[in-house]
Amino acid sequence: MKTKIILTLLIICLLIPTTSIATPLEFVGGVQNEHQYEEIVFITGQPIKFVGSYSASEKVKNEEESVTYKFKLQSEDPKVLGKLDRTVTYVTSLSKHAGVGQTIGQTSVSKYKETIKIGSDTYNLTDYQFSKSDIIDQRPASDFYSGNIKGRKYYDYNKSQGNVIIDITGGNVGYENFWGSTETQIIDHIITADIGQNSFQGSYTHQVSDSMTKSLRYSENDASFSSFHGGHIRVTEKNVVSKYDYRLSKSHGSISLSQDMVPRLERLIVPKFRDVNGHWAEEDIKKLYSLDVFEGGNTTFSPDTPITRLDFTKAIMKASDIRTSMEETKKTRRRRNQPEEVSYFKDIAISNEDYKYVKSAVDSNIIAGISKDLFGPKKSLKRSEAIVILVRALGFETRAPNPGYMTSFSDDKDIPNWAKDSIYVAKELNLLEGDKANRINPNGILTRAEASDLIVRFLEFLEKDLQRDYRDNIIEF
Amino acid sequence: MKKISIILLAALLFMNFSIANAQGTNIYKEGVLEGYFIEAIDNKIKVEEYSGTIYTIPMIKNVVLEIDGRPVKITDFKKGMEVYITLQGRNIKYMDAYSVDNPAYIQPGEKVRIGTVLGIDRDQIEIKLPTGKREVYFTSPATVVTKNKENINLKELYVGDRVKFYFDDIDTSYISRVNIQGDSILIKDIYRGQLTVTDSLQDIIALEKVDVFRNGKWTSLGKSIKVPYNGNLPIYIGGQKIDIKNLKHYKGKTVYMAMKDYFGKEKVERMVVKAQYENNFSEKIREINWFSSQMELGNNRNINFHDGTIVVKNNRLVDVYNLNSGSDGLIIADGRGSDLTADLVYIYNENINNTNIGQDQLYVGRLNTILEDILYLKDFFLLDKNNWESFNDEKEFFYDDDTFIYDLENNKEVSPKEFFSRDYSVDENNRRNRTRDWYGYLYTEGDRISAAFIKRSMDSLLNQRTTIGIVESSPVEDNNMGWFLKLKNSKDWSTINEQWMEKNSTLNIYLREAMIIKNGQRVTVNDIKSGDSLYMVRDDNMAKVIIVK
Repeated sequence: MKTKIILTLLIICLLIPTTSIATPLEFVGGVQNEHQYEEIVFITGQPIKFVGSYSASEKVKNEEESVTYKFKLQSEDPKVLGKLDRTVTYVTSLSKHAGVGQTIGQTSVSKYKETIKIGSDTYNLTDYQFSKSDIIDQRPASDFYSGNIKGRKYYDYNKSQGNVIIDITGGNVGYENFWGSTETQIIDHIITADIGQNSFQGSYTHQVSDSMTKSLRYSENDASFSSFHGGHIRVTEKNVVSKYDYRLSKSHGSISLSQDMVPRLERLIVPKFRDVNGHWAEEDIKKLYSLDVFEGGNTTFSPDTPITRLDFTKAIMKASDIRTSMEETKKTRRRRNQPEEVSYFKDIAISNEDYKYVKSAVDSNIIAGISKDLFGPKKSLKRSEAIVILVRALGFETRAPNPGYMTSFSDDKDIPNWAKDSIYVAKELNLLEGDKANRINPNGILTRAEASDLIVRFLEFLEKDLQRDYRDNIIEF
Repeated sequence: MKKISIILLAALLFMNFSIANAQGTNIYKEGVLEGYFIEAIDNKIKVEEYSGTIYTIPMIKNVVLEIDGRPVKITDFKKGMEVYITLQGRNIKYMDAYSVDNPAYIQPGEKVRIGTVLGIDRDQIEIKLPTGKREVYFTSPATVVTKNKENINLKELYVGDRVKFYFDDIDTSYISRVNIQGDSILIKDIYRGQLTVTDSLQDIIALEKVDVFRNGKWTSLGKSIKVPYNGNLPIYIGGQKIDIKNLKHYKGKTVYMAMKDYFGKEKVERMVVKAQYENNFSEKIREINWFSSQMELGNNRNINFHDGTIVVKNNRLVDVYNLNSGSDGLIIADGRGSDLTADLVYIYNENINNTNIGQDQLYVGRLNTILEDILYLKDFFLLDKNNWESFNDEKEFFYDDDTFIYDLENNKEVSPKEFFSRDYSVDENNRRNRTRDWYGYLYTEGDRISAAFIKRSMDSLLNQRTTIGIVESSPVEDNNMGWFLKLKNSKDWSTINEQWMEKNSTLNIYLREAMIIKNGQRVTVNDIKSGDSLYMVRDDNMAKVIIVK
């Protein structure tokens, strides 16, 4: 009995609104902000915009997640007397394939109730079949996923005077990382209405994208007599955009919707370095310091000295907000008689406060030691090594061509074999460019300023480039 | 006997050992071993040399293992792989193998380039990448082109379009697939307003005294607005770039804005802050001097331009280097006296074909002879440079089952079979025959007729003029006049001035007789949407041919 009560309480505690994850509500193409939801309904053969309130609640239990959406909507046009009430629960069971860092999600509908009243007509959802399957590829800096969707909705029209069937087919793609997440759905709906004189058949496609990004904005200090000049703010923005393209018997066209949430702000610490002002990488260094990605003395950053392997590894782990495995271990109860952990490397002790970053980076296959038992924390880093680390953090190293190719850089012959794939991929992702002579200088030692430039571009990729690729380059094209 | 057998066996074993040992000595002497990988046992590798000798050799601590030139683990080597081994003493220090069957192969479409079209010359497309780099790629007949996820012809591509190119090979310049950005690329309006609020945390501005440039003049929008702006593009004032952080210092100033539609809401795509005083010109750009960054207008005024000048062409933002002499446009200049700088240049020019990829033409003439799939047009006119040009000649055209033919007298579609078998062309020399040849407007792609609208008599072409403009509202049906639409920002082509002349009011255009063409094919009035850019031939308010751009 006690266990049951605890379990129930636990489930209730996990009832959280789905505002932090960018996932479109439902599978109908609607958009929402904090207090309003809107969607287009085509059940009559004409597009009708409905607006109203919504709620979304999520339950997580072991390997199963369920989400319940509730909508209470009315037609926006007061001339059309329309009302829509919908409650639907989707259940997703997750099967993890830890060895390959992938998870497969199977989603089905467990509960549904929907009534649409338009004028004197009533449409009641009598059956809803739904199947969705996703593959989630969990890479160190970001998760990438894609899924396929099939479904069918059966509506009863005016108490058995007819019926409307909507066939659903489509898919979704998305990514999720600390700096942003976007999910874009493209779903085709084929609508067959057998409702007497007004029977019709048509189709509509909705493309909806829910996106969250965190960006750094600079704010000047308005007062002149202050101990600091200005500082960075982390701004979390979330918006949903949608586009319906419809071809119905009476009309065809396109309707777009969008809604923004009010951004969330976080002030960051203010750098006061004396040796970076006017440096070409000043802005990048200050940004990363504000984010606690780089540490420095109170007044010196030393931008033109080589960055060490340890500092760069730590910076990537912090910048991508990759949770270290030791933090996770601390949270779980340590078993009795469990052997004491031993450092992977002789030259970095487990007691070193930065060991956790190294361990996680090695576990995630982002970096390896310079030999089997040495990490070389104080050693400087070559440009090629830094690029390999960035591309591995993204999990994109396998996107290079089959071996046996040359990169487009003029010093391709200087690129070590082990770095070629990463340098090719980084170029394709616009993470780096050659110099004026189109050289990548793979064996050049990376300075702290150059490292800042690379990491800031890497963060921009996570924040902006992925969003553009997963939203704008899909919906707008 | 038994003894002899044992001795023979021992001798044989000794011989074998000697041979292996001799070969072993060779590989250790040469330091190289080549053959087939068998297995890894603990820290040793079992290899069969090409000669057939099998070796089991330990690896050094920091052994280098590679497959296809990439570092791998020992478990990646599979039985049967051909390996090349170098030795350090009697240990393996390096081992590699080749596994890849198709070097440098990528999945079809895996290489991607995204950019803005800078130039189109038949099969050659130059784009500007997000990094600012320019690259040239080529199309082939096999290149697939899509826009809004629908397959279209490459001739629909414009300079200024945003495109995504897919390639099947890492080294090829030939594009396998082109995705073109849809209507969201279009500049919908030009606004002017006074900055009241700048929100750099969310890239939003608020403006009052907002005007929209419509029908050749600024018209008040009658409200203040709050709009998001594209924070990734630079803002200029008097030719100087403004750091976006400093936009707040320009409150109270007037800004010019190129507006886009972003999922049903307005968005500022580009803006320029007005520095001094405004001068507007609706003129021809007579000359462009690229060295001094100046353009000479038809009224002899010289206007400076710079990297921040907003240039709109075919309703798309284009690079300032896409300005051409001979173009007609609206120039919003900023400055005083003779020292003027263009803040915005809005090019009017439209043509039947967007680029030299398109070979579409518009003809009108007498249907002299109709054969089963051939039409001979006699004494015809060709729309050339926005004017009907006459030819006292006969021209051969082809038609097929996909050709759309419409009888304007009986308001009905005519099948190609009917077109051939009925009296649309007759022998006019036969005196007993009182009927006459019909006439037709033909929209052709090369010598193939895409659409033909035919009628009993020839229209007077003297009254006809070519007009361009933007659809203000989607077509509606009128009880008396049938379908009509309102056209804003319209311009007529003036043959005498050889210039697009701006109209100062919205036009009502009737569509009853109109042949409407979109993407090279005949469409219906339902395919014209608000905001569409039209190129048309009209007689007074009656449209004869409309091309939806």
